[in-house]
Amino acid sequence: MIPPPRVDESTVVLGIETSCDETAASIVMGGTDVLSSVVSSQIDAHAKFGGVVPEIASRAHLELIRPVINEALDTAGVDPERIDAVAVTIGPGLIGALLVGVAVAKATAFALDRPLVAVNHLEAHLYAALLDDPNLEFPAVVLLVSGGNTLLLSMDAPGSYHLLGATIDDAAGEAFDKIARFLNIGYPGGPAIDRAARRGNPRSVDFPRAMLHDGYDFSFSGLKTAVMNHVRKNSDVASDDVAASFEAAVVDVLATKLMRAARDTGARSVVLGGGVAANTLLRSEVDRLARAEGFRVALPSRAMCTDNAAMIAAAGWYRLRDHGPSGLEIGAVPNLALVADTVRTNRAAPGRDHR
Amino acid sequence: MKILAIDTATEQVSVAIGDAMRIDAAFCVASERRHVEALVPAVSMLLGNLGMTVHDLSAIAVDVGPGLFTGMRVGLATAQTLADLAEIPVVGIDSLGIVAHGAHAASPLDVDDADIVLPVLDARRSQVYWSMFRNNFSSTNPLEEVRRPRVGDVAELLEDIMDRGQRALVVGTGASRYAEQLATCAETTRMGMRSGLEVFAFDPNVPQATTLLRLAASRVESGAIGDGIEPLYLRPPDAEINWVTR
Amino acid sequence: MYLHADNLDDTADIARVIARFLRTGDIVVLAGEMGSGKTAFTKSAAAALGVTESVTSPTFNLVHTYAGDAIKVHHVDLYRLSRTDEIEDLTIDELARSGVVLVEWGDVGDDVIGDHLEVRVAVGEDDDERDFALRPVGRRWDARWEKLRGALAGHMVDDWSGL
Repeated sequence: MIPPPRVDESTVVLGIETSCDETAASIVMGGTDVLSSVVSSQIDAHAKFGGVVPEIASRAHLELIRPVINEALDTAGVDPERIDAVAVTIGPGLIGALLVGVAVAKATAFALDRPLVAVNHLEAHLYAALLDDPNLEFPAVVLLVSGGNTLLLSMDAPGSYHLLGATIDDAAGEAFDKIARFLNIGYPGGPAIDRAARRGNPRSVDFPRAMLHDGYDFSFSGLKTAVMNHVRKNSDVASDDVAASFEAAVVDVLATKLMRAARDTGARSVVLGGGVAANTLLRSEVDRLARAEGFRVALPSRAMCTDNAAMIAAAGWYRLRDHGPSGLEIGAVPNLALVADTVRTNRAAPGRDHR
Repeated sequence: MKILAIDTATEQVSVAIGDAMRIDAAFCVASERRHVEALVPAVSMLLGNLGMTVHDLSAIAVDVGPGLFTGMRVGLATAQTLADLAEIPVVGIDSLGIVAHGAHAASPLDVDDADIVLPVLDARRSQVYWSMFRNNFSSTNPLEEVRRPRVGDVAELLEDIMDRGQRALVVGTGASRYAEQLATCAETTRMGMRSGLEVFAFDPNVPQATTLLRLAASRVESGAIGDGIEPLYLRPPDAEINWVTR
Repeated sequence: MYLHADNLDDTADIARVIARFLRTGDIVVLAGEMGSGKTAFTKSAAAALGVTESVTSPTFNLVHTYAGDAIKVHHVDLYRLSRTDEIEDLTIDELARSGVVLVEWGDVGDDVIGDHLEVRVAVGEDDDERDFALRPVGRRWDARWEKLRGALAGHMVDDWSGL
């Protein structure tokens, strides 16, 4: 068995991420120093289907993972032998896509005789802001919004956080994707809505803000249906106006709840993460509201908001330090949730199991 | 000159270590799609028992399909990564060749009743993967591939067999799955006074990595390693479902 | 059989009644366009089966599994798939062995998914109105069909008025 590794500022972690449609690898030293971060996007391969096609994604990961890792090593100027640990996303995500990264990570750890660290993709997003701003002040509240999740968390320190709320139906990013597809305005849905919304009038339709003043949970399914009903009944309505009004409703709910959570938990900082955190309106609204109330704001760069492996390597560094390595028998867990053994929760975490 | 052979393109995880002369260690588990969990621990266990590390290997062999897509990818990703880091070559062998040669090794007399051997794997949805080998009736090179792997309906396979007009042996999971159609086809060809079709249902529960290892060993010895490995999907990844309302 | 729901309560009631008839091994295929309420239907059915946690959209991860009172509930979404091979990879029949399976957009996999109950949903004239068409595929529902009809009699209509 591999002895417990020494984890310090010089520890070099290779991060591998293949949970959805980005093949990514990164070399991070000491948990915060990003020596390289390579992301190969498959957007073009999925564009004509208007969404990520799992089998296409899995095949592309297999083709891309080797050159992506080699580029990460080259850019960082690091030999494989210099890697101290291998961190990999084991979930949540698409099973076929995750398996490619997990297989490569396990083989790498085994061949190099280095510890393997299983990383929760959602947990990793929490470290993205820290990579951009190592001086982030805690406690912080984090709004994590992506295609698969919408989570509101409070974070006392790296590795110490608890869940405040989550979507009870659709993730915010899923609503963006589905509405973009419904309006036929392009792919990926997030940037397409963002562009259309800049041209449209956000006040043209007053879409519902579900649960706006009710707890920390979110609901976007009703909004999705409301948008569709509106368009079906008003076939002459301008897509740009619908996109702008829809976006305004989503951002209103997200920003309102984030700010309330910041006040309620006595946070010093407000943090955004996940693919939807690249949305122009969400960034400007959170920035404006947070500053007005005297919070520090951490808006990770767009590259750090979207899926990348630097955050996986960073999360792996903390996880290795605090919990030690994972066994070589681990598998991919498509429905992995942020669970009680890694997170101090103030409510039951979703206890889904996987196939 | 030890080779590590990895086969995860089926429902099993099958691993073997050895050379052209003998199998030193082998492991097989019916994994129910838990390939990624079982594979590296199995490799670690075999190497450990032999007192070896990956750096003692001279090549890695892998089943590149056709077969279970997710399983294939786990095998290919693992084999390629191990080979890269050990700085040794990786050899890809297709699953149909493994089945054909495995049948020959398991039951050479049955094989020698046939002029051609067709490994057939169930591809689901009433389709099969198959290729074709000519029987050379020689001990050095008994089976020679005359048709590359392909996918199609069972009817196309039967046509392929009839066209050839030779004594044919069909082996693999597809042979047992479609035994009835093959038997009917055999009957028809006999009545037409054409060459006989034998249906021999090869038990797929034989660990395949040992056959894979032998095939790879002869490849390595003859220097015909090829440059790199590619998965053999045979089916496109893109839209087949006719989405109307989505 | 055709059903009509005047409002969201009616829709929830239809889901609850159907859920009462579900047992391990059953597959329910949910058909209907985006926003018609397939996930909402699943929420009500899952709640009736004793699922207490939030039933969220499985579009992203394809399969979510929940623990009900006495049965597991597998919630599957085929929305992102492009090949029937991929539907087979989800091993819906294996999932059914350990509970009930509700499959959104399941109609595209009709020939791959075994015996099932198809529930087609369409938005009615009013935003909250829904029309349902229920159809058993295979023989699995034979013994239960008349009882199910009886239990849903209050919502039944003669004709499909959906799109």
